[in-house]
Order: sequence, then structure tokens, then C-alpha cells
Amino acid sequence: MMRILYIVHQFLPEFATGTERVTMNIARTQQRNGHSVDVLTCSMRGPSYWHGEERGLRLAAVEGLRIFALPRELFGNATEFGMDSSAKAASIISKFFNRNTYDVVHVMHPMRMLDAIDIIASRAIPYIITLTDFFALCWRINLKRLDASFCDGPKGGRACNSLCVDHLATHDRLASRLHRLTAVMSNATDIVACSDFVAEVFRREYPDLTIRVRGHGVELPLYEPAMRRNNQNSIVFGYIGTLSEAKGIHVLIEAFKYAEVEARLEIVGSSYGNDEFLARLHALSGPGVRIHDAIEHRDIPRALKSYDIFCLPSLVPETFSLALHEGFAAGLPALVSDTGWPAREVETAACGKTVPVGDVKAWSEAIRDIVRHPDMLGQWQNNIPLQARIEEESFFYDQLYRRASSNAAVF
Amino acid sequence: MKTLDQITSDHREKVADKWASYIREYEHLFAPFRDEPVAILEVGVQNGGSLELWGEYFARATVVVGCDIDPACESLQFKTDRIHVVTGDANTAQCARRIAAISQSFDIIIDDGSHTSRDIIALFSRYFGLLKDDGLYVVEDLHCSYWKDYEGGLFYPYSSTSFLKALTDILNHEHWGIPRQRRELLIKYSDHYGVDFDEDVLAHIHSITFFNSLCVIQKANHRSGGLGRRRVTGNEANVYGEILPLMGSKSVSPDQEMEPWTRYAFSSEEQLISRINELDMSRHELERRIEELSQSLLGGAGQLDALRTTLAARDDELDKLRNALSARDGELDELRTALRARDGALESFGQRLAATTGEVLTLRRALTMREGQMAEYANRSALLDRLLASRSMRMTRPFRFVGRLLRGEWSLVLAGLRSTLGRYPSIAGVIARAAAMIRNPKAALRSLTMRHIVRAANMMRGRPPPQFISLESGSRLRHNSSFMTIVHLAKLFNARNARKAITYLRSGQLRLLLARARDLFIQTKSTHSSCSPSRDDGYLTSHPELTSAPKPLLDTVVSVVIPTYNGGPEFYWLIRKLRQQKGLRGIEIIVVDSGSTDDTTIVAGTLGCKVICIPKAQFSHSFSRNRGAEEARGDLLLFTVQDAHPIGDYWLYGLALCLLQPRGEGRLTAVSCTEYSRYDSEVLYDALINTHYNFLACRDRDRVGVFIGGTQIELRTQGQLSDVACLIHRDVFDKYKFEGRYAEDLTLGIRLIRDGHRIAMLSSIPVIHSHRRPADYYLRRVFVDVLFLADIFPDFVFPQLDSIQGALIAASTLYKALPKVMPSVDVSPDQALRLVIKKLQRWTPPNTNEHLREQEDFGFPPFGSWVARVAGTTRNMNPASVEQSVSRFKAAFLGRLSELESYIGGVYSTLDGSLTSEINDAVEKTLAMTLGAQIAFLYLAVKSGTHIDADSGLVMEVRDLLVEGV
Repeated sequence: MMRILYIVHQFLPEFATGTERVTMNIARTQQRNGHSVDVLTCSMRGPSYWHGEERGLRLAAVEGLRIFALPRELFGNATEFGMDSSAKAASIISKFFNRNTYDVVHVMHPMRMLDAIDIIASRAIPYIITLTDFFALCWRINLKRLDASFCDGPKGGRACNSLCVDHLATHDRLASRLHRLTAVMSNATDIVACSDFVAEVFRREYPDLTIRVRGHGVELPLYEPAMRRNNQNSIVFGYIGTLSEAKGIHVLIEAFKYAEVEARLEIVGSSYGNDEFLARLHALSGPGVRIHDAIEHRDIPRALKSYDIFCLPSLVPETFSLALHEGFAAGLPALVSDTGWPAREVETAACGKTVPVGDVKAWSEAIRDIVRHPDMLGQWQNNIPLQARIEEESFFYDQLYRRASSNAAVF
Repeated sequence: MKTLDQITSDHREKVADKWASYIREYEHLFAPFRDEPVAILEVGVQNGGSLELWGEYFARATVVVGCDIDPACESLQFKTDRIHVVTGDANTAQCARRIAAISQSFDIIIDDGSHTSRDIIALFSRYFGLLKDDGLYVVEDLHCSYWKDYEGGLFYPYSSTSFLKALTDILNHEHWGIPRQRRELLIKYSDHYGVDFDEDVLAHIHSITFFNSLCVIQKANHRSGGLGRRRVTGNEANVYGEILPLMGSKSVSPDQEMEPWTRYAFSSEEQLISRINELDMSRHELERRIEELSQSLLGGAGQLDALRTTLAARDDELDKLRNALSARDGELDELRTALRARDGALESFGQRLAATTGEVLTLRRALTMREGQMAEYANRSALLDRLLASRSMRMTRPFRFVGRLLRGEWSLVLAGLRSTLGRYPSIAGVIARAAAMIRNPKAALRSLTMRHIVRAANMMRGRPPPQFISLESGSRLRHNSSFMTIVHLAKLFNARNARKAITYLRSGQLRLLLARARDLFIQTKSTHSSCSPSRDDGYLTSHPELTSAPKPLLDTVVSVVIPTYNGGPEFYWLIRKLRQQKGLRGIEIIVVDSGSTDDTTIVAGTLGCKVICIPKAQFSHSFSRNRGAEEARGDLLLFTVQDAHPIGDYWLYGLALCLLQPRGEGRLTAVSCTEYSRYDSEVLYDALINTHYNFLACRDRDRVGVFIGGTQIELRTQGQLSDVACLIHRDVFDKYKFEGRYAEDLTLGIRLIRDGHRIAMLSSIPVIHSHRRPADYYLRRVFVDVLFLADIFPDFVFPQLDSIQGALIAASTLYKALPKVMPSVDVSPDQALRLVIKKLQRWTPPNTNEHLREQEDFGFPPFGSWVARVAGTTRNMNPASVEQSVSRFKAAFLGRLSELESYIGGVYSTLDGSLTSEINDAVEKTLAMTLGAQIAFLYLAVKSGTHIDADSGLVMEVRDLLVEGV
């Protein structure tokens, strides 16, 4: 039995987006297999979400997991993006580690939590880091520069210094951040990327580091074998996930409207308080478009079952997209932006279509094309790859934890 | 002789009414007839004045007939009998006959009737035939034909003037150049007014003379009429000489047959009329439609007005609602103000509450500490009780007694005597037992249990005694590797096994023993120094996907055998996952289905599996798997279950590699996987599987099983295979096959190791599998497990129970008394469960059999029915036996709960709603498991003949009930 701590930039009960759900899945499965598990995160949305506070940390329990959260108000924006440290936060975390011992720590996302990782390293607690996005390389997280163009990597910080400097990200801070995150990467017992797409970018920056690749698992038993769609019914295009500008939902809705087809578009998700964007989506939507609130993750298979194709119109390069893979588990082919890992997956497996990112006209034409030729859906469906289960991903990490917490090499 | 004008001027009798121009023209027209004996007809008499004028002017006239529609004219009296008046409508046949009765023909006919076009034309058609040749037909007052009231109009095609004009064409009939009758030209009048014209009469028209408002048609004999012959006179034709030969010739009209203006059936005017009529009809239709639309519009306007009215009413209501809303807003503002005031008060209360809560928390922590101390005391007390009740204590009691005697501890001696006398029926028993022990000290030494030896060994190492979990199946250790070491040590020190110990030492097992002893000490050290698990490398292999080592193709084919029954979606995913396995030359999947009612067989067939269907009644774990293996063609056989799921795409490759190319020494015959619990598993299952794998020594390592001895512990720990996933050489399996109705995997493993094979349980390459089962499943499962252990292992020791009623009363009353764990942020999950255990420790059973009648059936109604039958036998209950059984049941149940508490304490730190629910379920299921075990012990006792009473028959019956479906 091991004592495992998960560190993640945000978590339930406040947020339940992809990374949080992946963390929950892994942690719960470790617990099911006899390990003691806690989560250390950052509280972004105030104390009302939490059961109490103890020694500077907010506390909650979700599905048998004990969650400790560092209040966000303790530190500034520079600390959030890893460009600075917070003495107050570091002090609270240090005391936390005095009270709680762990055999291994799993860093699911280092944003806002670099002070904690520094303390872990200083105490020689072995840790594993999973790269779910590009935060460790890019303070803007998604490799999208200040001028909105895409970046192919920081190139040892030179690209950041020339293209992404602003009042927050000064030259000094960028240098400090690079130094700090390089140490975080180097000190990790294992580094795991959620996709080849992420691994390749990091390998370019850190050619000496071994970066494993392990995709996220889905709760496969919840999904029934996919059925062939009835061609008599109008096609249902669907999206489940966060409703944010970066996800390109507005592009999808506009494109659907311009396509003027006999079909439906179902959007499910939370804007996490961004009411302005939500209002914009509602204003954009027309006939056939329905926007629903977020649903429990147990209800996602049922929602996906009512779709014919999953849409992922992200404006930034997605590194994995759990929702897309849940769509695959439900037997849904995909219509995705031609950037990031989803595009490569869809093209490799021929289980959907890629569309130029942010191009309303092209998305509109793609939607029309599918409505005109619904048989394509069946062909794509045949090519959908089998998805890994949560337990497969968890076992993979279980083995890494054993290795990290043991002097003897397991393999 | 007076002129007509003078006669008219001088006329003083009946009033006559003629236009001056008429008189002037008549003077010339009638002059040729004045002295002739003429007959005159005038239609339109009025006062009769004109008849008197005609009588005077035509002095020689034979008759002057007047006709008028006015009956008053009947009374007109004239001085001369030449004047006749006929009253009636001249356009009727009757009137015409009366006129004709007066005179057959007339020289002059004057139409001064109604002046309507209809009457003028009809009169002409009727009376022109009565006119003598050379006679005159006069129509007066034609100005009326331009007036609508007289059916006229300047361009009206059916006016009397129009008709009279048409007669000019009749007059020139001979020049038409087309063979068409005269009457045809008048057909429009015929059609319009319903009159008919005689062709021959029309041919008599000689001339037509129009005057102002007057028309005179002269009749002549048609044979004398016409253009006549050409008269050319004179002799000089210097300009146009060709004229001369025409002298005396007749007029010849050129053929106009083809000329459009001639050959038309109707004149352009008639066509125009037709079109006008059509247009008129259309106009009328349009007018009708317009009228209808106007009506509709009026109706619509009415509706619109109604809607406007409704809208106005709604506006009024809306205004009223707005006013009401404004009033409510006002009230809301007031309420908000009040609420803010309350918020302030609440905040104040909150602050006070926070202060109070702090104090409460402090007190609660103190209380928790006290409770912990009390629990510790209770545990120690229970331990002491068990120790005092143990066989060793009982057996060594005489020695202690003698020791105390020798040491002169008289008070203890007396207490011991009292206790002994209370325990045994007589002093004779004590003496008899002591004598027996003195007679056979070796037997007494052998009666020392493994537990005593282990405890002694641990005490020698200065380590706290390992936590024994009291299980009915014997003694089971939590730290299995320690346990096995101690087992070996015990063997060495046990006189009965001395020969075997020497055999071990000789056969090289000493090294294994020493290694295990080393493991024990390493583990002990590790356990005490940190919370990490064992750090030694106890793995035979590793999952291929965790290494970067190349994965060359294994030249082997694996046949996968899966028994199925209603496999559901998970079966589909399993088959797809198996199909995706890589690194092997081939994989075939054989599905043995025992009557699925869902689409399991369809899925299997669709995904390329070989499907064998067997009747449900034929199913047993052994039969179905053996049947599948018979069909297999692979080199290796993999037995798995329908709800398992391989980890990764090289899972089967990893198992096969371990079997074919094992790391370390020795060939393996079969390998099984440990189960990797699912995301949606349950805490009880996780705890049980954890205990089981600790027992097998494969929790954190791979275990190689070999034959080390024939005790049930040795065989179970070494021989365990698992059909959740078990890979075996086909040639070996064909020799052994599965046997038995259940635990076929364990018996196969035991048979293999007995024959010198080596088998392995791998935790390095596990398989995803776990269950969420209802309470009744646990009850039946434990029952079957105990029966199986007793069946397979002759040395399986089970406790003696005296009363089935006692066990059922204990289960029933405990079920009702089970305290519930509640969610709490202040209590850890194991603390909460410990509180439950503490409360249950204080529980005492009520001394009534009423509870048996309310026995819980654990969700298994047939079991409830059986219990009801047992309840009917309560009159046979022996109170002492019942009490003993209840006590044993409680101890067994609490032992199991302690084990669960230990597991939960190691894994869970916080008690939220979902875990609370799971723990409460787990406690109920643990109770069911305890009951299943107790019933099994009694069943075994009855079966072996060591327990016979009135309930024995009932106990035997329960077997089939509980075994079914497990």
C-alpha cells in the first residue's frame, strides 16, 4: 500500500473539466486498489465550495478522496503562471507536508502549484509529472503567442523573450520561470505526456529527458456497443465540454447556422461563470441549435448516445481531449479542428474529418457535406480505435509509483 | 281639300299627338294614298285623336284600325264606323288575329306603340307581312331608340334604329356575293328578342327612308324590285368604250366567299357584342367576387375590431399587473431591507457560533481521544478474553495451577479452582484430563496450535504479535510472507513434522526458507520504518508496455476460452480488447455460452469468435471450460471470464512470455493474473481481495507456487490459480482438465503442484476485474467456500456449532441493531467503523425467539422461506446451545469487521457520503458472510455426524439452496 498525493492546478468540487476528471479517475482507481490517496490543489472560487479550512488550506471530500486546496488569493498572477513564488503559500504547504507523509506525488498540472513542487523536491519525495498541456513550456499554456499566432516551441526561452513579453511576463520573470520548470522536469522520477503530440514538443525542448506517452482512459463499461445510425433521422452534431472561446464553440454555432441544413446541434457544458460568453452563444444560435447546462459525468454516455458525430472546434491545439475519446467510446466519429492531437488521431484512424481551425465557412461546408452524405458517418465509425480504460491508465501509473517509491527497479 | 297640316290644326275632337315634322313628311308620303280606298293600321291609340285625323285625311279609306294595350281605349267612340279600335298587346297572336279579322292587309301601318326596341322589331316581324305591296310601314319616335329606358343607345346593337339600319343590307341582298339568306343577317335580333323573320317577306322591302325620328319602309313586289338591267344610252363613248356592251346586262356580284369581312358568320359588331357579353359576364363575376371579398373584408374588419378590443383589454390587464408588480417591488425592497438586517444579525450569530464551534471541536477531539482509549481497552479486554478462552490456556491451566501451588500463590490457586470447577462438571474431569496429559505429553505438545508457535516466534523477535484474524476456516495471517516463514519454522519445531523438516533441509528448501525469513525481517523493518510496501523485487516479469525492450513476435497461438451467460456490454469490450492483442502469432476466441438471453452469442459471432452453446442446466465452471478447451487449436489456453478486461495491447503477450520464457529458473506450467479492481468496485470486495492476495503472497509481488507440503494452507497458498485469467500449456491442460463444480482453478493448481509443476500468480500483469455483489451473494459464496475447503482439504478445521437457531437469532438481531456510519469531517472512516464495532461489542442478544421470526433474508427470498421453517422448530431450542452459538457468531462477525476496519483505515482518510454508503453496505454484507460461514459449519457438522438433533434435516436442505447459482 502506498500513500499517494496528487497535485493539480484546480479540482473538484470547483471544477470538473478534462484534467480534473482524469485526475479523479486515476486517484479513485488507485484507492480501489488499496492505496491511500489525497489531492492538493488550488481553490479558485472561494470558500463556499469547501467543507472547512484547516491551517490555511481549504478542505473537502469527494468520492472518498480528501482534498486540500490552497486559496488562490494567497498569491498573485506571476505566481499563478510560475514566474514568482509566494512565501505565504510555501509556508502553508511546508506545514502540510510536515503533517502528512507520502510515498509518491503525482503532479497532474503544475500551474499555481510550483511552490508545492519545490517543497516536494527539497524533501526528496519522489514525484511523477504528467504533461496534459504546454504549461511547463509556455506561460500562455497553449503555445499561442500574444499576437495569436501559433508557437512551435520556446527554443530555450528565446521565442518567449522575443514574442511573448508583456507587463506580467518580463524578461527576468521568463528566465526565472524557465529555470524553475526545467528543474521540475529534470527532478521528476518519470515524465508522462498524454499524447505523442505533447511528447514531441517537449522532446524538442528537452532532448535528454525520457518522456513516456500514455493516453487517458475512459470508463468504457458505461458505453454500449455503438449502433449504426438510422439514416432516416436528421443528423445530430454534438459537443460536450467547457464552453469557452478557446474551445471555438462560437465558430461551430455560426457555421451550423450558415450551413442551413436539416440537422441539429447539441451543445452541453459549463462556461464556469463566463456569462458574457454564454450569452453570446445563445445570441448566435438559431434553429436546430440547443445549448444545455453541464451534466454529471455518469450521464455523459447517455448524452453521447443521442449524437451522430462529435464536434471539437478548438481554436488552440488540443493535447488530448477526454471528451473526444468518450465520444469515440460511444462510437461517434469526429469533426475536429485541423490542429493538435485530435486532428492527428482522426486523420490517422480515418474516423472523422479535420476542418481548418476557426474557419466558419469551412466548418459550414463540412457540416453540409456530412448532411449530404450521411453514409460517411458509418464508414468513419468502422475505423474508430478501441479506447483504453481508466484502469489501464491507472495501472500504468501504479507501476511508475512503485518504481518511484522503491529503490529497487521494478522494470 | 284640306292638307294634313290643316286637318291637324283644325282638329278639335279627340286629342292627337304628332311631331310637326311627321305631319310635314306624311303630307308627301301619304299623298299617293289619299284618294284610294286604303286600309290603315296604327299601333298606339292613346286618346284616339290620330285615328280621327287619318279618318278625315283618308276620306276613302275602308278601315282605320287602332290597337292599344290600354284597355281604356276600348271605350273610345268615333263618329264614323270606319275607325276600329282593338285593345291588347299587338305583339300577341290573339291581338293580331283580331286585327286581321278587321282587315287581312293594310296599305299603311304606323307604329306609334311603346317605342321600345323590342316592340318595334317584334311588330315589324309580325305585321310587315300584312302590308300590301307598295304600302308604307312607318315607325315613329325613333329618338327613343337612343335611350336606355326604351332598350336603346347610340351604339346599342339591339336598338330599333340599329335594326332598321340592318334592313338596308337586306335591301342590297343581291350584291352580298355570298349565298346567305336575308334572315340570317337578322339572326342576332331573332335570338335577342325571340322573334322570327320570313325570308320572303324580307325580300319585299323596297326602300327605307329615314327622317328625323322617323323611318318609312316601302314594300314592293320583289319580282319587280332589284337593281334591274343596265341601261346604257348615247352613242359616244370616247373615254370608256367598253361600257357599251353592258347595255341591258344584270348586275353580277363577285364571289366574296373567301373574304373575311363577308364570310364571318357574325358581323364584327356581333363578335364585339359577344365579347362584350363575355366581358360583361366576367365583369359580373368580378363584381360578385368583389362583393364577396368586400363582405369578407367587412367580416375581417369586424374581427380586427374585436381583436383590437381584446388587445386593449389585455393592455389594461397588463397595466394592472405592472401596477401590482410595482407594488410587489416595493414590498420586495422592504423585505430586502429586512433581510439585510437579518443578515447582520446572522453574521453576529455566526461569529458567536464560530467561537462556540471552536470550543465544541476542542471538546470533541478530547472525546475522540477518550473513545480511542476506551476502544483500545475494549480491544485488549476482548483479546484477553479470547486468550483466556483459548485451547492453550485451557490445556496449560493445570501446569499453571501446579506452578502457583509451588510458588505458594494461594489466592490464585483458589481462584483457579473456582474457575475450573465452574467450567467442568466435576473435579473428576480435571483429574482425568491432567492424567491424560501426564500419560501422553507428546500429544499435549502437539495440541499446541500454529497460533501459539507464531506468537512465540514473534515475541522472540521483539515484534508485537501479528494480528490474527479469527476466521472459522482456521487461522489466517495478514502478512502472508511472514506467515509462511513461521509455518516453516513451526514445522521444524513440531515433533510430528520433524521428518518432513529434515526432508525439506535435504531437498534444498533451506535456501527458500532462509529467503523467506529474510523477507519477513525486511518486511518487518520496512513496516516499522515507513509506510512503504515491500521494496524488494519480487516480480517475475513486468508489463511489456512499461518497458522499451523490443517485443519480438512470439511464435505461438493462444486459444482464449470464455464461459458466458448474458455478457452485456463488457463482454463486447473484452472481445475487442482480445482481438487487439499484439505480439502473438495468432489468437482464437472460443465462447461457451450457457443460454444467454441477450445478444452475447451474436456479439461473439460478429467479432469472429467460435461459439459453443450448451444448455444452462449443463453448466458448471469445469464443464464449460473443458468443453471450450476441447475446441481449442492453440498452443496455449487462456481461461478468462466475460467481465474481465486485459490491461494494454501486450497483456497476453506478457503472460505468454512469462510462460514460455520465464525470468529466473524453472519452467512455468500455468500463470494467473491478480485482479486489478475497477473504478466502480466496492470497498468490501477490495478489502477481501486484498486479504486474499496477502494470504497468497501476491499482493505486491509475483508468486511462484510449488509443492511444499500437503496441508491446506500450503496447498492453497501455493496452488492457487485464478480463472479470471489463467494461461496454461494446452498439452498440460489436456492431461488434467478442470474438475469439480466450483474452485476448479484452485484444484487444478493443487493437482499441478502436487505433480511437480510450477505455477505463478502475477501481480505484475494483472487483469481488470472486480464486482459489486449483493449481500445474498456473499452469504452463499462464503457457504460454498467453506464447503469446498472442507471437501478438498482433510485437515480443514472448523469450529463446532450447536444451534442453527442461535446463529440465525444472532444474525437477525444484529442486523436490526447495526449502527449506521454517518458522513463526518471530524471522524475518519476507520474510526467510524471502530465506533460501530464498539457498539456491537456491547450488544447482548435478547433471550427470545421472536427475532427468529423476523429473520432477514438478505435479499434472497428462498433463504427467508428456509429460515421461516427453522423458526417453526424453536420449541426444540436448547438455551445453552443458542447462547453459545450467538456468542460465537458475534465474535466471528466482529473479527471480520475488525479486518475491514483495518483495511479501510489504511486506504481512506475522509468520510464523505459515498464512502459512508459503501461502509454501511459492507457491514451488512459482512454480517451475511458470517451467517453463510456459520451455516456451513453446522452443515459440515451434521454431514460428518458430529451434530445430530431435530434440526439436522433442515440444515441438510439448505445446501442446495445456497449452492445454486454460485
